[in-house]
Amino acid sequence: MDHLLSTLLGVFETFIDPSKRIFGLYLVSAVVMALLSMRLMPRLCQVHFRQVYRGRLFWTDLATDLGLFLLNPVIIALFASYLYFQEDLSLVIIFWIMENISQHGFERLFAGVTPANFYASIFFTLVLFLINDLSKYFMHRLLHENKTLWQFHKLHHSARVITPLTVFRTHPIEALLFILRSGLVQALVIGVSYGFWGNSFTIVSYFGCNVFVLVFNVFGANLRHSHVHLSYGRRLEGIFISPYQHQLHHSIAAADKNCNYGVALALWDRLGGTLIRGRPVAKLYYGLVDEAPRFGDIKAHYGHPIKSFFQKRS
Amino acid sequence: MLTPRKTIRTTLSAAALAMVTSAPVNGAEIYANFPVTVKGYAGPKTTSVSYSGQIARHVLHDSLKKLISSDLPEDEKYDRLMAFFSGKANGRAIVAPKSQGDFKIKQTTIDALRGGKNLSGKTAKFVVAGMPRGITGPELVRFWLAKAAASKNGVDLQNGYDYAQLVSKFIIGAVSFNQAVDGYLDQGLAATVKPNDQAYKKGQAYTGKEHVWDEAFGYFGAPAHTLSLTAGDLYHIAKLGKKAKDQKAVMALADYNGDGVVDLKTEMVFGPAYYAAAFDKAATTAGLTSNYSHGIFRAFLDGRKIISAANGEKLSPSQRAALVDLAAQIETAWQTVLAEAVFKYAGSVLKDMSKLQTIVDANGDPKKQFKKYLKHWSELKGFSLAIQSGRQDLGDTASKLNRLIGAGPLLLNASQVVDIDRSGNYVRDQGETWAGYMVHMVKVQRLMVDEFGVRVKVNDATSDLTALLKVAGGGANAEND
Repeated sequence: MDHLLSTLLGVFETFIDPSKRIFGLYLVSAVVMALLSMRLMPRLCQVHFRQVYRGRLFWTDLATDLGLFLLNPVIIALFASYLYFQEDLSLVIIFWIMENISQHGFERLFAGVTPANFYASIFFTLVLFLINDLSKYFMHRLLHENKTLWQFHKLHHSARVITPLTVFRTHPIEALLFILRSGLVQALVIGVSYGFWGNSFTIVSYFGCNVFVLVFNVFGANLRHSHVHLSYGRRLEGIFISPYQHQLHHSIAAADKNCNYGVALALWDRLGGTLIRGRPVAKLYYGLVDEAPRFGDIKAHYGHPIKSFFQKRS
Repeated sequence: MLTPRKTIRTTLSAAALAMVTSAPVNGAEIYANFPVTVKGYAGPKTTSVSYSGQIARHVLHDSLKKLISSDLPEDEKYDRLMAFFSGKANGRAIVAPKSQGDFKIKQTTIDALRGGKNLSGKTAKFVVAGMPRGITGPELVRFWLAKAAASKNGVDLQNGYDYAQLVSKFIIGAVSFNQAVDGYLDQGLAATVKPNDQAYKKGQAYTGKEHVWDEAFGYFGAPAHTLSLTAGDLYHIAKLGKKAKDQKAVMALADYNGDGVVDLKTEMVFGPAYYAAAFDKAATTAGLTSNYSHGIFRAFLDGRKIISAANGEKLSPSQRAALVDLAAQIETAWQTVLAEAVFKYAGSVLKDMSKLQTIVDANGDPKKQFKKYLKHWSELKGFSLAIQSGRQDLGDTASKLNRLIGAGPLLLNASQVVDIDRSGNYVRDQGETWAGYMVHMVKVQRLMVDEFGVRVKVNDATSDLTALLKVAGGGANAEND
C-alpha cells in the first residue's frame, strides 16, 4: 500500500524530473520555441487556437490524459512488483552478454574506478541514443501494423485535442512493452560497451539525463503533442522529425496514415519508406476514423483491446 | 484467557516495573539490575540477570580465532586450539580480547568469566549442507582446526582457505545464532519448558524464563548499555579503540560503571552485535537508515521487562505471545545482519577477483592480493554457513547459496576444491571460469536481496551499473510517441 502511495506521489515529481518529457523547463522551452517560430518564420509555424479549445471535447480528452497519467504508474507498479523489471531485466541481459559474448567484460566491469574515457563516453551516449531511437521506430511501427497491438495503441490516437500530457495516453500493456524495449536496448548497448571499454566509459549526462535526450527535449519535444504546427522545412525534416511531422502521424486524414513513426530522427522513416515531410503547414484534425471506446471513459479504454481480441476470436 | 482489563493491568505493571528495574542511569535504559523474582530465594544475589557463560563462549571464540592465525608448531597449536574449542579445563588465559594501550580489560582468564565452558558442546549438530561429506558442525570445526594447525598462520594457499575467518564466521552462526534463535528463543519459550514460576535450577537467583531470555541475549554479545552508544561507538569498542582517533574516549564509552576497566561480562561488544553495529554504521555513512544493533537490543530489553513484570509467576499466554513476537523480530533482524555480511563479502570477493585478473594480465605478483581474496572468500563462506544455522530450513535458498559459492574458492589455475576424501585430504577439480565465478558472486548478492531483503548493501557489485541504467533509462516510462 505504501508502495502504491509513493508511486502516486511520485507521479507529480514528473514535472521536476529532467529525465521526463513534461519537466517544467521543457514545457517553458516549448512555449518559447513556439513563440519565436511564429514570429520569425510564420510560414513554418501556425497555431490553430480554435482547434485546442473545443468545449466539452477539450475537457474529455484532458480528463482521459490526466486519468491515465495518474493511473498508469499505479498499475505498472502493481505489475512490477511481481515481474522482473527494467533494471533487473537489463542486469540479467548484461550479465548474459558479458558472460557469453564480451571477452573480459565481466572482469572489467568490477575493475574499480578508472578515469572515464571522454571519447568512449561520447560514443556510448550517442550509440545508446541512436539505438534507442531506432528501436522506438520499430516498436511504434509494429504497434500500428500488427492488428492486435493496434487495439492497444489506438488509445493514444483517440485524442482529438492533443496536449503535452497526451504523451502519457498509453494503455498499461503498451507501457509494459515500452519498459521491456527500453530495458533490452540499454542492456545490449551497455553490455557490448563493457566488452569494448570495460568500465572506462560513462553516460554523458546533465541533470541525470542523456545529453542527446536533453537536447531533443529542450528543443520543443513537447510541441509534438500540441496544436502548434511547427515544421523544420523540407531539408531538415529528412533528418529530424519535426513536431508537425508527428502531428501528421496523428492526423485523421487518410493520406497521412501510417507515416512518421520516428521520434527524434527521420532517418529510420526514410529507410523504412514511411517518411512524410511537412507540407506547408495547415490545420489538422486529430483522432480516429475507426471505432474506439467512448471518449473520456478510462475503464472502457483499458478494456477495449482485450474485448476486441475476444470478439474477434468468437 | 486474559480479559482486556487484566491485559491492561499486566501491561501497566510491566511498564511500572520496567521503570524501576532498568531505570536509565545515563539517560538510556540498560539490560541489567532486573530484580530477583524467584519465590523463596534466600541467596545473596540482588539481580536475576546472568549470562556470563555466553560471554565466556564469545571470548573462547575470539581467542580461538586469534590462535588460528598464530605461528606455533603444529602439535602445540592443535592442542591449544582444542583447549579452546572442546576443552573445559580451568586456567585458560584469554588470548583475545586483551588490554591494549588505553583500552584496559578487567578479565584475563576464561575462569574469571565462567569456568568449565567450551564451544564444541554448543556447536549446532546438524549436517553442514554447504560442505562435502555430510559432516556435522562440531566435526567440521575439528577438521578445520586440524588443517589450521598444519597451515602457516592458518592460511592454506594451496586449497584456498583462511581458517581463522572460516571458523570464526561459522561459529558466529553455528554457536551464537543457532543457540539463541533455534534454542532459547524457540523451544525455550514454550510454556512447559523452564517455566517462570520456578528457579532455572534449584537454588539459583533467576527463574526459568528469565535465564532462557538472558542466555539468548548473551549470545548476541551486546553491552548492557547499548542504547547509550551509537553504532560507531559499538564498532570502535569491538575494535578496542584501535581504529579510533582517541582510544581513551572509546574506553570511556565502554566503561559504563567508570571503574577504569572494561568488564567483558557487561561492557564489551562481541561478534553478532559487532556486525549488527558495523552495518548500522555503514548505513549512516551511506545516508541510509538501519537499526539492527539497537533494534535487536531493544527487543531483548522489552522481552526481559515482560518476564520481570511477571514477578516470578507463570507467564500468561499473552505475555508469552509478546515474547514470541519479540523473538521473531530478533530472529529476522539477526538473520538479515548475516545476509548483509554474505552480501558484503561476495562483493569483496568480486573486487578481489577483478584485481587479481588485472595483476595476472600484467604478469605481476598476485600473492598479496590472493591472500586478501582467500580471507574475504573465507568470510563469505563462513557467513553463508552461519545463515544456514538458524531455526529455519532455508531450503532452496541454501542450495543455491552453497552451489554458487562452492566448497572452496576458485583458484588461479581455475581449479576448486570439490570434495574431501576419506583421509581428510581436499580433492580439487576444474572449477568455473573466472568470469563465471564472478557472476556467481553477483548472484549471491542478488539472492541476499531477494530472499532476506538486505538494505545496507556494502560492496554492492551492481550499484555502478544500476546507476548507469537509471540515467540511460531516463525516458523509459509510459511515454508514448
